[in-house]
Amino acid sequence: MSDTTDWLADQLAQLKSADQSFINKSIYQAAIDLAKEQEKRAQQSQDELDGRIWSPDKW
Amino acid sequence: MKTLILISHPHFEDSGTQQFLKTSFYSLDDVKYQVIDDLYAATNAIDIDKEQNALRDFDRIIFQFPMYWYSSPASLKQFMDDVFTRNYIVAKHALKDKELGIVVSLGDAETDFQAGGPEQFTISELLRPFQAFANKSGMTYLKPFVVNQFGYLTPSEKEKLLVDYLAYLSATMPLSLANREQWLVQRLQATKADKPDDQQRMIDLVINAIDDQQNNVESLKEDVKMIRDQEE
Repeated sequence: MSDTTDWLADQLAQLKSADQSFINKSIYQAAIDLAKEQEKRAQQSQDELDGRIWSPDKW
Repeated sequence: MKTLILISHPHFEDSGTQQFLKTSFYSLDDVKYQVIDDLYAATNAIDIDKEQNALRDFDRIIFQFPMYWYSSPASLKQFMDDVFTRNYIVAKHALKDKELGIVVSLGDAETDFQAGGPEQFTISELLRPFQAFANKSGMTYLKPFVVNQFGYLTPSEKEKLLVDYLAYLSATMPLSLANREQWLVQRLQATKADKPDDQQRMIDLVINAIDDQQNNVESLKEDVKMIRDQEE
């Protein structure tokens, strides 16, 4: 995981364990999952950019 | 955005699934609900005008029920037959441009509902009459939300169900990553209530970081689109 996603997961895990409400716990968990999904999407786009920029068709 | 949940269930108070969903939607301000069975239990003939008028205030209407013989329990059909008169739906277009969502709970595994599976037919196929109704009414039909065998869910699966359900009730559709992010940030804001200052600050920092990540995702997506468009 990236530094930001690691940091987010850590902060949200702290908030989750400190909260008694099942609803809030669920929201914090969903935010952890969202951060991971954001990182995955960003990585996919970055990989596609790299692939297209370095395409042998353009050499 | 305001949402009305019309619940059809002969034993609403005794249903673990329904009580879980009820506790969940109580956390949202702009969501109201009506148990149709209670409406009919209270009176022999419901007030059609009153029920018709009550729907006007809402942007999203949800039919929520357990699947009984591949459809809803009888009370929803009764309600539709009584309240959704031809004049109201077709002549007055009273529900036009609203959204219709279906929250259906299953006793059998969702994976059984597919061609070649024990049930043979998909949930989308079985719920087709509701889709046809939405079409006739000029409503936008949302992807049905399936609660799959609630009794077998683990605590972490229940957490996910809760958030997905709340998003289905109140997030902007379709639920793209951007819409989901925007919605979740609102929910994170709401968790700040009654928290000490240091935790509120922590939540603000989390929200900023999530927003930054989302901006990064959107900007990379734009870059990819630009290069694709140049190439193809």
